[in-house]
Amino acid sequence: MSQYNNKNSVISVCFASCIFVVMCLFSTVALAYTGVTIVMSSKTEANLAFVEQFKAELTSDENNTLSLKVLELPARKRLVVAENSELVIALGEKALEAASKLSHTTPVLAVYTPTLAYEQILEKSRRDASNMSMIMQNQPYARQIHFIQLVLPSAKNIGSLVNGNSQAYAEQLKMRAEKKGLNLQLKHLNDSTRLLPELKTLLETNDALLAIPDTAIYKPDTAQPILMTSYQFKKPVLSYSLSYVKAGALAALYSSSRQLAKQAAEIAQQSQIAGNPLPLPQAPKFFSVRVNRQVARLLNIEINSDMAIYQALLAADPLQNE
Amino acid sequence: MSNIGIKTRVIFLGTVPALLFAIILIGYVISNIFGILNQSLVDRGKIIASQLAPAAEYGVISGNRQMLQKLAQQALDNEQDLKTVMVVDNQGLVLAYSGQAIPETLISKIMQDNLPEYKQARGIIFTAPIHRSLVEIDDFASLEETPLEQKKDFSPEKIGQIYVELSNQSLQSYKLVFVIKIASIALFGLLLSGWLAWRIGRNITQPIQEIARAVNKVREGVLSQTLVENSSGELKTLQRGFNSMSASLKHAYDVMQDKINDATSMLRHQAQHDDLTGLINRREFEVRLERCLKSAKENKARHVFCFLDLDQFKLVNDTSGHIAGDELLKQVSVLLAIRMRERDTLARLGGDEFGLLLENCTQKEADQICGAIQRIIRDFRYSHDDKIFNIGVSIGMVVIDDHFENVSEVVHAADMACMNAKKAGRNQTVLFNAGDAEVLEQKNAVEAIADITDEIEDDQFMLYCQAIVPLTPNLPHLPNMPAIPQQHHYEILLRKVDLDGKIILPTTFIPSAERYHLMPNIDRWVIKNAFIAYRKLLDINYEHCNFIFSINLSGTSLGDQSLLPFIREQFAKYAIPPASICFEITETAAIVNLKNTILLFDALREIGCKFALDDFGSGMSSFMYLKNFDVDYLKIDGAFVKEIHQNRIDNAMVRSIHNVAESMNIKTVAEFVESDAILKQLEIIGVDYGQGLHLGLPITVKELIQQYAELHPR
Repeated sequence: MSQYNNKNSVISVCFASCIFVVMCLFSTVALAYTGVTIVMSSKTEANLAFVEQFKAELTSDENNTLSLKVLELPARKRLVVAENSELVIALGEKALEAASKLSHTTPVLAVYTPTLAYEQILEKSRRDASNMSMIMQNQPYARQIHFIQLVLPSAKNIGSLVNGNSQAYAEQLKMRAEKKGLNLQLKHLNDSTRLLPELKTLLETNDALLAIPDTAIYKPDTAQPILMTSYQFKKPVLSYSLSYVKAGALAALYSSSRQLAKQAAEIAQQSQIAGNPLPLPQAPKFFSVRVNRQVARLLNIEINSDMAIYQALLAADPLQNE
Repeated sequence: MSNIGIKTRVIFLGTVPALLFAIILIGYVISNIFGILNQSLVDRGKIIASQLAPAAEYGVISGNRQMLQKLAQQALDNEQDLKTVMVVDNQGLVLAYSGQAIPETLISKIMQDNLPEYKQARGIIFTAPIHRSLVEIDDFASLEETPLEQKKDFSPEKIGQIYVELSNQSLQSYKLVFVIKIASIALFGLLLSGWLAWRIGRNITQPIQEIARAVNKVREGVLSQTLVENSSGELKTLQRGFNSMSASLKHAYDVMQDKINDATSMLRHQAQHDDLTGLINRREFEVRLERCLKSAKENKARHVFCFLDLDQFKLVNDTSGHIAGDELLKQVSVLLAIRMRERDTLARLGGDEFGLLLENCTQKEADQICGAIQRIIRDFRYSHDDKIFNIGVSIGMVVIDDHFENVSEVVHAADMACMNAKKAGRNQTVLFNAGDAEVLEQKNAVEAIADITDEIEDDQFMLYCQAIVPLTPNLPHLPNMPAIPQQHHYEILLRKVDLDGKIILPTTFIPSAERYHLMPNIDRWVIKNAFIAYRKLLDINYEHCNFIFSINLSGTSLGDQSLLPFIREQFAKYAIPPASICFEITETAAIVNLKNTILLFDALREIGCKFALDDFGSGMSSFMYLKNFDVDYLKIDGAFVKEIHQNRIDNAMVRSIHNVAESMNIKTVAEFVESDAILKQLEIIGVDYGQGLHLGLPITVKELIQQYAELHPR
């Protein structure tokens, strides 16, 4: 009876070994996938525009061998399919959080994610910047300062509301602005109900309000009160997005989805070369400028054409001139 | 509805549907318009509230009450009917208000029930939440990570509430004005349609009324009535129809009128003319006579009236029959008519009597004319069935002057003159002379019957009776006061009582009564009263009542078809034994009315009556006719009896009559037994009965009844 049992166990081991070999063969096939996977939490306009542009960038490159896969998965699920991608681009904080859980061999590039959130996820995933990099939201300091000076040449005091998310960038910016002769007054907003009173005190003493991306301050429901309060004081708002300009901000320095996609495509192509680590988190390379002429007229501010400002910024931009 | 006129119906038809339509339309319009107005007020309130809400957003967020107050005041100033604008934060704290404040209790109620609107008596409160508006400021949505489809359902934060109260007073007054206006329009429309209906109705009824008036005129006899054909459609057809009907009626009426005129003139001719001869009849003649009498009185004109009576006409009639008599009359009429002057009037007055009216004629001329007429008639030979007759004419002439009161006087005068002419030997002309004794007598006779009418009064006549006494020796008799024999035979005699109570003998009034056709009535009166008398006798003592009453019937009564029924009726009425009644008819009357007499005799014989032939022997051919009549008695004419004791011829006549009668088993009665000598002769001859002064004077029937009553008390 025991003899018989031993024979059976030998057969079972052999069978299991065979299955393992087959599975290994299949996993080799899976490891062999070379392409970029874009992970998005949902199909927002910006995400779709990003994907479209990214695809266009890849196809426009004759040497490109990368294929593209787009995943829209529930963020909590493990992105098994994205394993072994040449590069996973995570659009947004939630997509990044999901992608961060992929194996460390899969490089992840974060787009549309605040720096603070990126840092937190990076820390949590125990990765390093070489395999989980990002394209930052905030414009480079010099470009931002130069932009302020181009739009409001006479402005000396610029106010800005900050919170935990934006504080680090703001402080850096303040420090560099002062070197350029621009006083950036930062106002910490810990209590959201104090938004308007704080804003009022800020506007009373400054020439303009500089909006720095911070979801705790600049939300859809605060946008209008902020704008209206600013214009009650006849002080312009300088913002970071095209939407904000359209909503009533005087001017914006921003990078569009397509510009970010173009930058991401460059990173993907560079990282295609085997063994190349991802570049360190970098500021948006390509950018745009938009001025709300109606607001400018109402506030009696004369501003150069968008193109002139852009050209001026471009000429002085270190990233562009690399 | 059935007795409503056309105009009323048209007005009814024109207004009632319009009224119903107007009511429905007004109801529909008002309910719709009011609904729309109410809805527009609600919409307006909602719009105001919803527009004020975002405007108040910044004020609420920023806590800028001044700004909110300004907003509320502006809204109140700019919006009509806006009573209140209130801005309340999400804690229920009133941030600003303008107008009348809404009580807090009401606000809390509205908030609690989450009502979008709240209706009050004088207005509606609308509420709208004040939301914190969302403005997209992030190009990548990375701040929120909100997918596209989720963004649409995103509900913004409510930061306050706006209350707006709209007054509905001006809406109410507008509604009132609207209702008044629409009702006025409807009323105007209704009046207009009523007026139109009235006009249409009048357009219809006017021609109809005209037609009706025309029809009435036609009904009144104005057949020339026509209508102007001014209508159209059916009414024109009606008008045309009426006109053609009126024309047809007129034509028919004219044709009918012509026929009536023809018939009238024919009737007039018939009324004025004699059927047999074609001459003017008695009635028309009297009319002309009247005219002449009038002109005689007024203008002293002289006219002559001649009364012509043919002599020997009766002979022709008796021997050759009525047809021959009629033919004779026709020929004589033609003969006379030829001789007339243009102005003269010849008429047949009845039987063989003619009247000749000679207007504006002297007596001399009249004499000549009458002479000529008599010559013509005398020379005329009338032949019939190989018999040739010579006839003559007796003429009574009257000069019409103002002595005559009336036409009948003229006629009677001429009649009397004519009778005198006959008496004078016939074929003579006698001029009426008012002073003549005969004329006076005749006048009296006429006067005697003047009061007799169709209805004879009881006191006008009186009945007498005279005994008819058996002469046979075996029958006892008493000369002066006869004892009641076995059969008490009396002849009923008639006497007239004049106005003074004087008794008039029948010889005085009967000829006139016969001439004026009064005899049938008189006969009936006699029959009736004789029967009454007999009834009295029967009532006194039935058993001993064995009277025979002989009642005379005149010749004219024989031709009366209704006499027989009358006699039967009287028999039935008074229950008289028919065998007790004997009817007496003169021989001449019987011969003239031969056929009727036989029929009457046969009929009465069936009942059981007896008959006597009166005045037998006076006629021309008595014996020949005797065979025709089944009679019980022959009454020998008094003319033979009066002188029987002196005249052998009379004696022989009576004897022969008696012999013939005896051989025919007919009893003979001799009249005029006035003396014992006569009586003896009669007894010798063997005449059965006698009647006369010698045998018994006439007594009144009343006396007879009285005597009978005394002899046979009840």
